[in-house]
Amino acid sequence: MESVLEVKNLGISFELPEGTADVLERVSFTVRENEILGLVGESGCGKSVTALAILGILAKNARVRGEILLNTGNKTIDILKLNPKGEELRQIRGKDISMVFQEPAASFCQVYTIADHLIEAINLHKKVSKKEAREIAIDMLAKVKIPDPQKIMDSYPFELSGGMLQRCMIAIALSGNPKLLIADEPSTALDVTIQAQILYLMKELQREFQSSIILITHDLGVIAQMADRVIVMYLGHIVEEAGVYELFKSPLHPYTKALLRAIPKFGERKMRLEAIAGVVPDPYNLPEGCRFHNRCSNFIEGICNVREPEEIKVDGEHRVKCFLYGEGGNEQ
Amino acid sequence: MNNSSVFLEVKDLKKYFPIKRGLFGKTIGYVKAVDGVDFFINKGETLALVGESGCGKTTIAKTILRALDPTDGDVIIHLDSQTINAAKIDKKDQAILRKNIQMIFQNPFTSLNPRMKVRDIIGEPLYVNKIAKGGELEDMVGELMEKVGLRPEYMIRYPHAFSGGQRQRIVIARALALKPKLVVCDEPVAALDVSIRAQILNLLMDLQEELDLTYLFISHDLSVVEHISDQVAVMYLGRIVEIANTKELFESPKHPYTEKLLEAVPVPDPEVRMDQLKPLEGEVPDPANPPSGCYFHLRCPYAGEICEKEYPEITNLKNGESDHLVACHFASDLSLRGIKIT
Repeated sequence: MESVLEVKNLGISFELPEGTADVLERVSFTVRENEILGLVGESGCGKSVTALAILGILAKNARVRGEILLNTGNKTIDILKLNPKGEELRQIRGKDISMVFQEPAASFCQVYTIADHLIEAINLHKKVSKKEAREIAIDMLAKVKIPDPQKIMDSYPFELSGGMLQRCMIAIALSGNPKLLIADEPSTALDVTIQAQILYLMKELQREFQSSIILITHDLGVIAQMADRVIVMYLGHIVEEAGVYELFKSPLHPYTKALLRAIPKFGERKMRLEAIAGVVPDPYNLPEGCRFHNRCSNFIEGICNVREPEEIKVDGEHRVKCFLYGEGGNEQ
Repeated sequence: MNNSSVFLEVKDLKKYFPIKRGLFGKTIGYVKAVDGVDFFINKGETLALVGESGCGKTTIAKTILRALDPTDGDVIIHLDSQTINAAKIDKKDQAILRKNIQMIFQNPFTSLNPRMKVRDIIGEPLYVNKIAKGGELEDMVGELMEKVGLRPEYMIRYPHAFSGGQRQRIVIARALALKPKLVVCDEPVAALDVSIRAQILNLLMDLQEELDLTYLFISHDLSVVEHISDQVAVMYLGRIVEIANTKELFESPKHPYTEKLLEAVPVPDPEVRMDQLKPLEGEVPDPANPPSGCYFHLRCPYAGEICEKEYPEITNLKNGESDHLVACHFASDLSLRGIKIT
């Protein structure tokens, strides 16, 4: 299967008055055609920063290393080599890669109507008349199942509910028919029933538009329901990558195992949950060796706190970064 | 129902907010945020209120605490020595409520004053109620911090020095300072990370057992609710549509809304993908202008003619010993899909 996006050895650090914060290190993964790739991890693990780097919209104090290769069909472009303010990257944003943000109410400008937002996105990438742009916009709103799109077009963002706005944002993101859609916690701010609607819609549209989705979330339930492949992140490292069935059936990394045990599941009433001890360390004093070692139940003194584990291919698609697996990791 | 063990009884509780328009602020209507709600909680047990945003969960909590004055109804609290009606109690006698009912808020980043030290945050309820001061106060604060899993040395720090989970522990310590009997937990883990969520839920369950606390637990996360509660009340647009013990409600829901809520929870198991299930359509109607008849009929896949006309009475469909109250015209005819729990 062809890849849409290839991220190689991506590293990001932020220069801050308190010092340098390394928020992402040696992150490599590929996004294939027509798949939903789930990125899961707790706050501060680097999920959102990865997304922002792919779009080239990181803050000015960010230092980025590595390569982000976008396959546009006829050529491969390294996004990190482009001028972040240049025309070429602006053409990629919205047309090849677009994004749906977490907080729908905060992502729209309150003084412009939904039509203004949509038509702006359409005009940036398609040479069409005003009337045609409006027709495309109404068509997009109908695609995301907005009732009475004519009326909603001329509404202001504050007049719509969170669920409706999130539908509008998806419509805007899909208006350029992108190959890759990045959805950063698209349903976290919504109620369960509305969340189910939005997730269902995204799956339907993904099939219709034949695009790939990077789905960023902290909710393992959402991942299980949506993703084809999953990447688990902890403190700026990818600790495990596997197909969704494989990951939930036989997780390997102690962090993945602990996360799965820590969530309340139906059918375990009034039992104590197996919480993960401690808290996520702060990015200024990252632990030596494996970054999870001070919270890990399989911690090996003298190894985990000294060296950083290599990534090991277990079988086929399953990758894990932990000393517990394979001799191959120790050889290097 | 064993009356002696009931701790809190809420009877026909109503809270209406006036809608005002125009220069003179004429009242043109009411938002019926809570519209005739009845439930009770036994001592030492947990009742969960679930429902979508805007259904009145938090308003109920605030009315019980008298942070809001109820429009009508009774909130009866059975203390060991006396019985009080929180809804009718005089403003100046409300200190007794504060001693017995405390609240844990949703967002520990906004519910702690950043300018106060942890010692003062946790100690304030003790100080203003003249329970302790000086060194004695510090000892009590230290004890409380140990109880919630914080190191007492940290009491001289400010909230910014703590992580989200630790802050929520501070909020819990503050709520427990006056040894309350009832703790209202308003989405206590919604703002926390997955690994921290489990720690806080465990802490809440341990404290309940140790201190014989009664919880009113507000949440929209049904897997958390299933984990922690004894009874569950499902709310829709200011009214309770179904109330039963947790096992009963999850395994055999009787209200279509409950069924749809249960279906909507993303289960962390790819083997049970919900691809085939059509999610509940539409959104919660405007509470200022609720639909006719059953409030849910516009979104209900089972709605019949009567549902447009009449609001269904709440009826008790007993399953053996346990009560199962539900407000649906077709409750006894429908066989709805639940979730098997042990």
